[in-house]
Amino acid sequence: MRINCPNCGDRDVREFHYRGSAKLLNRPAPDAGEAAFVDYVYLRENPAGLNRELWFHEMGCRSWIVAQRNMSTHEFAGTELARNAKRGAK
Amino acid sequence: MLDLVAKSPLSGLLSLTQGSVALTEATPASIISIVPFKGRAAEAEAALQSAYGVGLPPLGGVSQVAQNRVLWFGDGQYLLIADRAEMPKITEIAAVTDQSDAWAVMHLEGRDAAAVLARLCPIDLRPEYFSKGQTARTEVAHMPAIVTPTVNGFEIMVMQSLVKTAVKSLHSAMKSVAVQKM
Repeated sequence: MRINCPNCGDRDVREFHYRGSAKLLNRPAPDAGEAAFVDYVYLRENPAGLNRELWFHEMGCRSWIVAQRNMSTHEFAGTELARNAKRGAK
Repeated sequence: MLDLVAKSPLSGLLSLTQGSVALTEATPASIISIVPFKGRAAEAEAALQSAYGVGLPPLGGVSQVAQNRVLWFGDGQYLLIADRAEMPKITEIAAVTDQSDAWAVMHLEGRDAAAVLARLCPIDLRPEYFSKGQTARTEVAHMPAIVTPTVNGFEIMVMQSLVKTAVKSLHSAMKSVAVQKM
């Protein structure tokens, strides 16, 4: 499996650390209430298709990357630097 | 008064030669990381230009003038390899740390250098994809490393605390390639 790092190009998956859903970028406001935080911390989609997720290029440029990965085929549909990624998007 | 003798990070471990490939130590004057603050990269570059004659390299690149080099070192991060005595005061425009005592520098050179490194490093080392003027942060034998092509092979930088493992892994790959090429 290879991941296209926006800085480094195609790199082997062993250089990356998987963090989980990119939902983590969308932290609720401090006063959003318990339900919003339960959703943010615990609830995840498990689509049989594209999932937006966070990867860390730990053994490379050490950038956080938002990747679209197909959960059924492991095919990557696109990557971008997390700092450029749109916040608040589902 | 004690007379302390400075030892290089790889002293006692290198040099090694196996077949066509040699692994030797390089001891650059100093290694300094430079991370320009937001929007200050142009000023940092101008300061480096006037002190060392080198600018900031592009993504994955190296800029070099004589012995002074700047390596791309991650997103918006640079590694200056030159004599720290000439270093301009740029702490207002960039985060600067002296990393000379953090990194060990090796040269893996010879006809089969790429074949040796390919056993330990997951990036494409073929010259059409990776050649002089480029640099990569990647892994070598599961250790974080900086790999930079040279005229006749590669410069490999690893953390000084990992040198014994790095030399052992590289030497083992050198022996394996040398035997297969016999």
